[in-house]
Amino acid sequence: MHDKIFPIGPQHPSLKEPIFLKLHVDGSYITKAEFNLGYAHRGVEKCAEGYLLDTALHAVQRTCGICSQCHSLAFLNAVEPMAGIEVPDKVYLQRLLSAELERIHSHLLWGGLMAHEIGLETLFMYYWREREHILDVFDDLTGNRVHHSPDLIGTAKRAFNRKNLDFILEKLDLIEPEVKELKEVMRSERVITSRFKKHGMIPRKMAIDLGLVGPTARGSGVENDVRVHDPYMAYAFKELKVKPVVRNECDSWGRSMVRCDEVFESIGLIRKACEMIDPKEDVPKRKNVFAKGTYGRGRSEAPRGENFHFVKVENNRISRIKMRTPTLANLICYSRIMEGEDITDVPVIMMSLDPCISCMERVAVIRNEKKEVWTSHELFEGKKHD
Amino acid sequence: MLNVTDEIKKMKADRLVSITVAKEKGKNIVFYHLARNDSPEILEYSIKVPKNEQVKSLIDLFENAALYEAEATELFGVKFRGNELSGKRLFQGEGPPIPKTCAFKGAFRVTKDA
Repeated sequence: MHDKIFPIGPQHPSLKEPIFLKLHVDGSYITKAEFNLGYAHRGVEKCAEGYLLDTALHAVQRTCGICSQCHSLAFLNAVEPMAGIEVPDKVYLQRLLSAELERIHSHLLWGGLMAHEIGLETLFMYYWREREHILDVFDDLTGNRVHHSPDLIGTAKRAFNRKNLDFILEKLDLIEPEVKELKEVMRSERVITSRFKKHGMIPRKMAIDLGLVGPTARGSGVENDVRVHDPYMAYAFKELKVKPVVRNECDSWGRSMVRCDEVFESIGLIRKACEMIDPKEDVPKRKNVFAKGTYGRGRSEAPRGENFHFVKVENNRISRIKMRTPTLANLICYSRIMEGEDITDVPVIMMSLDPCISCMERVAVIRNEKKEVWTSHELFEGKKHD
Repeated sequence: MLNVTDEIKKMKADRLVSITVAKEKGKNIVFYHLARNDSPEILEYSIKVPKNEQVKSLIDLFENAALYEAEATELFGVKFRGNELSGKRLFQGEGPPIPKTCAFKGAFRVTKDA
């Protein structure tokens, strides 16, 4: 037996974000997998500290380019009860619209990257062509295609009118048949099925024991969805009950099919929400927000799973914010599911988990050609900066 | 060593959501957030950790505690006994060396007005 180490990353064509995988291999089979992080950090938690709640929201919304709305919702779930603010139904519905549009956009982005990993470049372009429609909707609703940030504490930056809602419905009518066809391509294409089925197995028990979240857990038969178990905002309306998509295959294929089917679930939710929104109603004006409590916690269901925010407030300013992103919750299974697989399957298995590395990173400082990690106190005081 | 395992067992949680450390009057407070499958609420347990005191790892109850505890050790220096990852750097392992030609040499102070 020859134990060799095969490195992948941190910069590698098959990785869209930097992560270093250290694979111990026997021939081309992986016997052990380890990972290192810390190659991309934006310090969002630190950026939000010291600011008033509504200013901090600005930083929180920029945690992730793909699921910025879901970070915003988790933060608002933590902060709005602390501030004792009542939020009108229209604002809740607008937030649901943005969150579900974001889920469609994220899953289509994932589909494109998945196709790219296995060399199906045409399928990649078809997926991303459909994704463009959703980005056009964000552009129309908020003026931004990626970091759309439509929220304010207790209200929204603007009210959606009839024209906006018609544009959303028009785009959904365009993408729905196309996405159905893309799903059919995935189901019938032998290259995809042979590389996804029975690879990257996460048995149901492992998913429960490791506390996995999102499509990664739902692809292993675990019905874990915050929108269902802890319905927040408009998800608590009886007309907008979510039916979680759960598959029992426990492999990369199961996780992929969960994402495909969730697109249709989201389209259904958006259509219902568009019917419920009163296009003539205005949203409340922005007010100064004062926190009455000290601690707040909130969660939301991001496209990758449960997003958890913990907020500590002192003198109406944020003194600590913790964002537990779904990728951090799912990270623990990475090394286990790689074991026993072939090296060539690593990019596909990684993609089936849909990691979002940059949202998860904390802090790393480069000093004297070595990386260092600073504690929160050192960072705040700047003690290591001589 | 502070043992939180028994108290957390009594909460009958199904899943560990997160472990967070926050500072209050110079002392570290460790917050455990947990969830049950049949209930929408998030359960919370917190404990003040004096300086140089260790906390018993929750790894026997919840395997995913390993990463959250490692992160807490890195950012706040709270040590968890029984967690192999707790002493190691989660976000700073032995990765490839940074090339000497790297443009980002030196220490950069992170300030909010930068």
